[in-house]
Amino acid sequence: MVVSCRAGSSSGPKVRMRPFFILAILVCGIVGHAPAQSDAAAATGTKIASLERLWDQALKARDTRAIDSILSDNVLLVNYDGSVQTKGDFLTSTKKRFSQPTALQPEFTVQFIDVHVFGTMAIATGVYQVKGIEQGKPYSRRERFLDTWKFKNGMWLIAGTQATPVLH
Amino acid sequence: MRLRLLRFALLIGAIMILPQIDAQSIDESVARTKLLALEHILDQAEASGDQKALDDLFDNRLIYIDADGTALNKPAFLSRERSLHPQQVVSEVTAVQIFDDTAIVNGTHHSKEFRNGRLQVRQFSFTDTWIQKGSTWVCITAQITPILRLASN
Repeated sequence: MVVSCRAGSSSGPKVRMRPFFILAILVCGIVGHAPAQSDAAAATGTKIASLERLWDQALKARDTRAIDSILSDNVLLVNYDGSVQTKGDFLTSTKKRFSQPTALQPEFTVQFIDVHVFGTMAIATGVYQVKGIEQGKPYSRRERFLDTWKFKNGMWLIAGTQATPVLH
Repeated sequence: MRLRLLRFALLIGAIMILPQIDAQSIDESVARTKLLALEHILDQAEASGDQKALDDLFDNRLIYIDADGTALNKPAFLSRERSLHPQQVVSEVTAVQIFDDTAIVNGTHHSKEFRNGRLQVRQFSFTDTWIQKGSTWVCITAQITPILRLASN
């Protein structure tokens, strides 16, 4: 089962959502029952795609609580440069980045997402573009990501995530 | 009397729960050992170009993200492997997370290969997702990202 979506809403002007609103939607989205039958896979795929968009929104809204709530405690995050972060490392660096002026915040635009559902595990893969300023110089790159979602204790959580720069 | 009853209830509870905890940790330990062995077999299959072994190790629904960000399905991945001739492939596993029938393995992947007459050493971070099929595990997603600070040739 594959769910594809183009994230048109993410590529427009930045939409600011209130952090508590994002968290509320997130909780509603991730709390539920694991689908036991294959005909529920489409619904799961749609749910995972919406959770991916909410993660994108949480980054735009600088909402670390929302980000915290979708990451499994033991998740390892592999960044575009091959560096690896634990959840704690990632939240610390993200909070530090969020505290910087808006002009220095990188801009993420999700270009598309495909979701593949395998029972209580789902894979979301896609491409996003990152634009920002580093050491006074503007940069732009595309990264292909793969997020592994796992349904555990009534919630869908990201158990693994990695990004690789798209070089072509 | 109440205290004795409470102690007795706790003892019975512990007797009932402990074997389950032990069984679960033993299952996880066995799965971890299997997954480490499978990662090693995967390295050997890649280094020797063993298509049969690669076919067995990867699920038909494989999603592979290559070092340049290309997404490959299983036939495309096997075709890519036929064109590569690495001298050595070594993976160092740094973490294994097991969630029932799903496992996520993280680590560092080192490969040595001759390109244009020069030995090229490349290092990557990888994430492999394995799913349990019967008594064995198959890899359903694999992704590698070049480690920029260590890149050399």
